Amino acid sequence: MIRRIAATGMLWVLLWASAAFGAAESWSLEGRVREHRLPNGLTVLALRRPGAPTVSLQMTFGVGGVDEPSGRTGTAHLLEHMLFKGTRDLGTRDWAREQPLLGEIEAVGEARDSARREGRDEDAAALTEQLAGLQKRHRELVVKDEIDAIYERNGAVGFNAFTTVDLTSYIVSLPSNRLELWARIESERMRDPVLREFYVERDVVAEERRQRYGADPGGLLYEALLAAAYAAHPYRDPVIGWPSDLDSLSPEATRKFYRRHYGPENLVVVAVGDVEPDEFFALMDRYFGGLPAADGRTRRVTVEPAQRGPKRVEVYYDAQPRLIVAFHKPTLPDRTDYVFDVVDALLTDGRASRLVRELVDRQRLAVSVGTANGIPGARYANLFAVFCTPVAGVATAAVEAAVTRELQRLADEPPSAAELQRVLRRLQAARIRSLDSSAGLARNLAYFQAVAGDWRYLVEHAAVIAGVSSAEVAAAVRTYLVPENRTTAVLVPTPAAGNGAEGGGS
Amino acid sequence: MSRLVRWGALLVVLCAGCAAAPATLDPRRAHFEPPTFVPPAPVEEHLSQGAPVYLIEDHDLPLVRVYLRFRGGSVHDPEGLAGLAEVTERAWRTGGTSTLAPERFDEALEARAIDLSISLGRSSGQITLSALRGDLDRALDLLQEVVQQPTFHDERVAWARTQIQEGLRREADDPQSLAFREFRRALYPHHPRGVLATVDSVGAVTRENVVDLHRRLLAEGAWGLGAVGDFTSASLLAELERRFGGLPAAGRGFPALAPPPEVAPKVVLVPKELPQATLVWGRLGPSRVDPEFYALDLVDYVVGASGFQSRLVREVRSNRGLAYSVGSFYEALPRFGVLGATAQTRAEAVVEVRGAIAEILGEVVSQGVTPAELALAQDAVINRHVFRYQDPGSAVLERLTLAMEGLPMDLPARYLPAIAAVGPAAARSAARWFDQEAGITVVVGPVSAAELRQPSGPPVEVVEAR
Repeated sequence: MIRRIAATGMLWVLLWASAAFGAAESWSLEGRVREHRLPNGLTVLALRRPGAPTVSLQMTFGVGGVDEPSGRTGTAHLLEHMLFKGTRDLGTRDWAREQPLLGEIEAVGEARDSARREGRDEDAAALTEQLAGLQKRHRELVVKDEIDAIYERNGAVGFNAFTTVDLTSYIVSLPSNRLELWARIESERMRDPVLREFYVERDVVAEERRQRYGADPGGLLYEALLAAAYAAHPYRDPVIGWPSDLDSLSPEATRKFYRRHYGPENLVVVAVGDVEPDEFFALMDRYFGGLPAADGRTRRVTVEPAQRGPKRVEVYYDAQPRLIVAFHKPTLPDRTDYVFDVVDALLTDGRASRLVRELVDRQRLAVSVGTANGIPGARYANLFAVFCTPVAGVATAAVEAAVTRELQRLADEPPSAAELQRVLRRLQAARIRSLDSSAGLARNLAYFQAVAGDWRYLVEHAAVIAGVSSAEVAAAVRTYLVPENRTTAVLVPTPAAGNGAEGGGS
Repeated sequence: MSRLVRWGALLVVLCAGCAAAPATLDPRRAHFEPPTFVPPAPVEEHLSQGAPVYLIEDHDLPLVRVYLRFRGGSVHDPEGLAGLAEVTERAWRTGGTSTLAPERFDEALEARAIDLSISLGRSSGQITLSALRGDLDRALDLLQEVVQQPTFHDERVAWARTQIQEGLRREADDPQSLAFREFRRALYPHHPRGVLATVDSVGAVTRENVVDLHRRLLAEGAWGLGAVGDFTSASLLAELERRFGGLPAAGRGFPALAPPPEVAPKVVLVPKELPQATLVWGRLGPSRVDPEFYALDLVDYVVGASGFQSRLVREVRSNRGLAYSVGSFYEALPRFGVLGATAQTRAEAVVEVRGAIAEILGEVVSQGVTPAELALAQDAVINRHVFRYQDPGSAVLERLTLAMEGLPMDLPARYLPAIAAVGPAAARSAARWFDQEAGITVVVGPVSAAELRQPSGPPVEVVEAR
């Protein structure tokens, strides 16, 4: 029951789980996925699977961290947390009494945040105390986490949500006879959310930030990599928000973000499992048909200018060393992105893949190595990255040099027919294995419908991948995996350096 | 269709904010029958030497998964060789077979997209094979080779040792791993569960130790097979008999651990300059076959295992905003159990969070859980049970686990009725297990011993992170 940010390299995971092979395959999704569009623009997908009487549901909005205005990083993710707090009906004992109290809390909370920003410590302390008193009164009027309680009682599994740079998704699996319960609750919370307990939840997110980035060397290094690789495009900002932004996110700005982006035309809903598509579509019409359009207007996003030379960032931290090497590249549906899916598999899919075999099993420079095509997102041009965990006694520079050599070798000794065949075969098997999970299928369908504009990307991906040639791999390596396009992030161990503060040592 | 849509839209508009309107369902009062689902039951067969085989045919996808499960694991590592099981797990999968050198073995698997993984946990191990239907014969050949003729290539054993040692060095980089490692060390001081691998003990593991452990796992322990997927049972059984029928019958090796002795309460502090501290408290508790298991399972749900409906999450996270991760745990093993609570919070809030946990657990111990909390826990557990066998493979694995651990095979069938039968008195009694007078507390983070000392409280011991 932890509201979480999706793991890094999400696109990579999804593509693994879903790479398709031939449309001629009888297990193809084509023909099994049913599609429906509401007049208000909402897209619905349904896929019936045999098995237990359960259904996995996912709602994905095409909005994420990348859509936040400067100074308000973390808004999309905080809003996702707030949408678990209920509506004017669910989560309150008496809305008429609660509403004015929420207004008071917001006024005092904003005054307190201003005092903090302006360094008026005494005022801030007094206002914090006043806020605590109001919050205590407010708790008397709240039915704590009522939506969660209803779902729990009804046997829900995996009631959660996740925010990425690109998307915000709300997920749950239920016994299939509870489908209408889901439609009733979700349509209400997406239409009529109340951002109650805002300041407390903001503190929870601050703790989440400490846990995932402050106290986790992997998270810290990843954050530093993105901030260095992107000079201008908002992919440089962490989804959870920069600490100073997070400390002053306001209820009003969060509501504004909600009104602007949470419209039906920006929403994909997917049901997979024991579901009768026509019945589900009728439920969707009935409960989601009245969802009003969002304010619209998409924000203009700065285009990342071409990189003119290698970048390097070092993070000092009391932990063992690690290394990320990343390169800018186009995103889907550019053919280059498909080529990089193949590059990704050639380098690290399986023990016989090139980087794993060379760096781990032969040269023994690293205990593990992985790659990701498409971080941090896929709505805009993104990165291909190599993650390395060096073994003690081996300098990160040596690992970095070995990575560079292997990438270069991919151009000099392009993959053989057998190598390409191995990759295709594994992608084919991974695709069939992915059909075994309702929640996983719902996630993939929603993801590609939202990011690529059509879930059929999953099916077509197979055919395109099968046509990628060895020469194309070599060309992509020569064009993109070059020094002037590279960002390297290194975690440098500094025992006893004061890294108690966010952001590392001296 | 369009008329239907408009009518639906109208209803929704009218009903916004008024849940009691007749046309839409009332989420608070809506009642649904518990889901009815008879999960596919594995067919139980036996190889000629007696090893059990559990099979479920599932022809939906052209896939087959085969499991080989065996008793044995890290708690049986000999003295001075803690880490032997971990090294063996890695060297087994990567060390080649009598006919295939390590790299050739990987290529043989990957050319046909066969997945083969080996894991060796605390007290049991498992080999999992996954293949497309058409590749099943070849996959079984490779499984047979790796089970019966692994070579544990010397160089690969050495590399496995190095990799495990690197993992140990990196354990301190993850505050939660570090906290639970110190917790185990303190809770099981004279018990195999508390013996932890070190860089030195892993360094002492030789290829001979690894080869010997592999031999003993098959010859002295117990093992069984399972499969789920697109096969016909009779022919798969014949294939398994042909390949594994000659292996030794089950022995009495690697028995379930005896319960550890109780330890005197103490606080262990691992000072570390971090923006956040990790707290763990826990103690020994009832085993999986203890009649109190069911009541404690439900009390654990109410205390902190159920997310937002639990007392710990509600108070520490949702009401006070002091943690992102907070909750309780209860792990029931064949002969004993362990339960406790954990949280991660900023440095300034450690004392407050520790106090809040103590207060919440204290209330549960002295007053039990409310009838409403108990009912919610029971409804949740019963209604979501349908997810347990969503993957038919889980029914096969469950049987194998029970068989290897010597637990009653009807435990799964007893589960739901026993959960439903837990009454207020049983829950009230089981709540006493959350009494913090017993057990071990571990804190990792930017905290001083003085902050953790309490008048007439347990002693505070300071341990270095590395």
